Amino acid sequence: MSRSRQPPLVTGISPNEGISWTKVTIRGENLGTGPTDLIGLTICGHNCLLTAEWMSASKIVCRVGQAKNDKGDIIVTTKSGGRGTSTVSFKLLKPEKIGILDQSAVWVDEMNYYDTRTDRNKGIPPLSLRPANPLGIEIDKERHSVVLCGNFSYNLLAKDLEALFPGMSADFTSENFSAAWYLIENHSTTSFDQLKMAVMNLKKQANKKNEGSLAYVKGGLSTFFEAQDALSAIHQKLEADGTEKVEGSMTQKLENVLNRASNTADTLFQEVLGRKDKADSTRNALNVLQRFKFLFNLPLNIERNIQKGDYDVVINDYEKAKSLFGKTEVQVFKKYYAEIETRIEALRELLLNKLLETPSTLHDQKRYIRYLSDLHASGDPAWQCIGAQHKWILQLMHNCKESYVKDQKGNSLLHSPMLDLDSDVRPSPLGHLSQTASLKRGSSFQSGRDDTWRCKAPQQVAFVEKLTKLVVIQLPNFWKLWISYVNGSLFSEIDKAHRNDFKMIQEVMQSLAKLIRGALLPFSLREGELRQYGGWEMKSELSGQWLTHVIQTVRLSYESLTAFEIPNDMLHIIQDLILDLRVRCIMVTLQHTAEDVKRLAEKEDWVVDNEGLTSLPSQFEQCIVHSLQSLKSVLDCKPGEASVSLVIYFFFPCILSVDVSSPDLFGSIHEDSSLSSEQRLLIVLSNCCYLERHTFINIAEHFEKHSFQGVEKITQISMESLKELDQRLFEIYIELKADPIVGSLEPGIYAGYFDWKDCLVPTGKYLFNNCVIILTEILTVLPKIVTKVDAIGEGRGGLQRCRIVCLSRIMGGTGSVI
Amino acid sequence: MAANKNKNQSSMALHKVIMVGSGGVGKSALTLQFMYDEFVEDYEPTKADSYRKKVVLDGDEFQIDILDTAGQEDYAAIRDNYFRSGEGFLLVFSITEYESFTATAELREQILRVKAEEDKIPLLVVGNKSDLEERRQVPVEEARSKAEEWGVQYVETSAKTRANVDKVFFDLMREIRAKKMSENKDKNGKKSGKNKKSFKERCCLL
Repeated sequence: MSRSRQPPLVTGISPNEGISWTKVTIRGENLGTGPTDLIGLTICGHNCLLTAEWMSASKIVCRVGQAKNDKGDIIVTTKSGGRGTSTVSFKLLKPEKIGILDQSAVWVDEMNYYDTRTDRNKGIPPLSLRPANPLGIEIDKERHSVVLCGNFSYNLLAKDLEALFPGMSADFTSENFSAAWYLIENHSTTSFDQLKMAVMNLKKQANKKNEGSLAYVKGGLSTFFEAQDALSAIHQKLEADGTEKVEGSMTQKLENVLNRASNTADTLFQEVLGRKDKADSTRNALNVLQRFKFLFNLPLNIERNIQKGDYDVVINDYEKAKSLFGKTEVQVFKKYYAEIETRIEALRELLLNKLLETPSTLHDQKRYIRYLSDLHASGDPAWQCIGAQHKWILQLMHNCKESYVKDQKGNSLLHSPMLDLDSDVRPSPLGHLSQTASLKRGSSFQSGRDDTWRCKAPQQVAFVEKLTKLVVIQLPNFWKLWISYVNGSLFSEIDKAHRNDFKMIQEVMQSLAKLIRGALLPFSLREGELRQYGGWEMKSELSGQWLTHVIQTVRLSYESLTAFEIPNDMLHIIQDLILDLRVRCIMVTLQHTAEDVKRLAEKEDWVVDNEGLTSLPSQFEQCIVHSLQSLKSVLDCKPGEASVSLVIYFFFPCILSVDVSSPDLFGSIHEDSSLSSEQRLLIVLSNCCYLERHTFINIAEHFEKHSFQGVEKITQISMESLKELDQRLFEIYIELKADPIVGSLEPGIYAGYFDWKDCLVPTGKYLFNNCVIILTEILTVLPKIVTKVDAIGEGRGGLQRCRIVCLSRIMGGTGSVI
Repeated sequence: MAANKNKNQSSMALHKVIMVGSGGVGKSALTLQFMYDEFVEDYEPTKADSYRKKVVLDGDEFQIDILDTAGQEDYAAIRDNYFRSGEGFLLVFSITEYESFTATAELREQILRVKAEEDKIPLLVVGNKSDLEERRQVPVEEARSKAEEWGVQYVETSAKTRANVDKVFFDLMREIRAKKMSENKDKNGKKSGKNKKSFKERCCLL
């Protein structure tokens, strides 16, 4: 009894630390004589009496409440022993989990929370404190070990039991608790005595519980009073508020309120959850958009870059998109990719149009071809471009021709079409191209003379200038394009058939040559070609001067074309053209000269200077020299051109024949003159002599100066023909002069009954006198006739000899007459 | 009066004992038997239990503070903290489970490591469940030789029959007391060597 007087002493706690609601076992001394003796239990300052279960005087099981202090004593108070002490302490740990009502910035999965509270394995719920062994007798060891060893065999047993008691449970907290099942499960081997004891235990426990709750009520009497006071206060308040007037009972109202609260909470959470779902989906969509931003923005970017002209960027993007999404299975990507494809297709068309668009520079063309090949355009854009360029050049050339022809047919005085044509030519590709020096020379040569030249130049010449300029500017581009195509530097596959196909360039060359021919040498074309390339009105032949100019122009263009390393077999066409032009030019010039020479005769004024010459020889010389000068550049052999000397050989006899024929003309027009024909003949003879002695030498010098070959031959031929002429003239003259002498002699002969047989000494005084008269006549006209006669080879010497010659001739003539 | 007693208690010398051993060897059973003369049949794994009571050792009143630790390896990480506060250790194994005996070596290593600065740590090797002789797996000789190797005492106990339960606690407390006294002497004077020896002799005798 004295022992019970001792105050309770807590000497053990298991465990010594834990979170709230941890089940603890308190051990010690004098912890009360029974459940009713225990009237107080605090752990860390928290009253745990409600959950405390008195097991024995040395053991109490309870749960730690929401204590304020972290660490504290366990104080047990008993009726018998009073307030006790503790030698051990309990440490309250902070719960790691976020409470159900705690504010939290993060999403808390509440499942875990409920799990810990409802987990049967960790202990029964706090308020349903039940001893593990309600019967208070030993549970079958066998079953224990089974449970410890594992669940397998236990599960088997449980299955059998389930079959035996359908819808029942061995859990004594369950509503469907089956006592039989419980006994079979836990006490199958327990003896009847033991079970009797268990019944006793159960009864005792039931009593204990009653006593316990009674004790609890007693212990917390003041609390109950307080509770009752509070309840009555609430009741009064409710009455005062007139709640009874509100329809329905208070619980119903509360229920309504609760329902409303629940609904509000639901809507709140629905909103929150809906927002969360929406946010999630939005975030997903944004992520997708962000990740594939490139693809989605691509159509717009392509459009923009096309407008800006950044085709490189577009092509890069396209390649990237193709590699990334070309084989995509996603519908959205497919759609976008198709969109991109259509845009790229449009771009291809645009580029192709741009490529085929003329005029354009080589640089641009190459660029577009590269873009197109990068974009895997179908077909062969480079070849298409070449074709288009070719057509364009041809068209340009024809247009040029047409405009000039029209110009010529229309008012040829107006030069506006030329200006039109100027604007037709592409702006200034010269800047892009590295023009050769010769081309520059050519252009400066042309432009330098343009202003004065154009006013006077015939349409054909202007046309040829324009045309060659056109070709020289355009063809190199075309050729370069071609070369790079053949090299394979245009990024497109080369069609083998195209590789050695120079048709297009040839065609350009041919049409150039034919157009020029059509303008200048219409007779060298066939009828059909003439219709196509010609169409010029042949009012007047071009002069040699203009032809020379044309030749120069064509030559310059030829030079610049050779500078582009265009194969020779193509340039042959041009060479042939040049050769033809030169021949033509020479012919025209020579014809002109011949005509000039012919016309010289008409200009004869028969004014004799002191040397017995008229102005005719010097004029003739001038004529020849002039034509030579104008021919000089034509005859010059440029490297690679066929020599035209043969032409000269062929044509000089022509001139000479003109030479020869010209004195004939002298003779034919003598009637009009005041001078006697004899005198004229003498003058002509004198002129011939001068020609032979001075003019031809001068001309030969000129020939040599202009470095013509075969001058000797020419001189020789001309000398021969001159001599022949001279001979003929002299004979005519002698005949003319001899006739009167013979006539005057004949009467004398017949008067003196002259008989050739008995004629002793010619009594030629009269005859002699006549001869002297003639000689003086000759001498007056031609003081140097003697020397001339000498030159003819009739002997040199004085008058006597001349007389003798004359006489002998006369005599010869007389004799022949007789 | 209670306050007075409380005061007395708190002024009393306190020996801190820590129960060490694998799970299920009977540390809690030994503790509860020593503390409350009761034997707990059902097994509930311990986390960390504290017990403290007044004992009379060789006529002197002491307080013994027993920290019953968790044997499960789950709690191995927090053992260091417990060990640091301990003054004496009961290294418990079950003679019916050989693995628990082998585990003692490792646990001892851990104790030595934590208390590296102390030269002699009061420690007893306890072979529990000696009542279950028929299920013995650890021979007495082996356990004893191991204890000798470590220079500590080996005692076989039974928490069920209370055999040697008091002895292990009291022997350990004596060792703790002897160690403390020698340390005090160390602090107070320089004649520790001889005293220490005599204490040791006495320890051996008991």
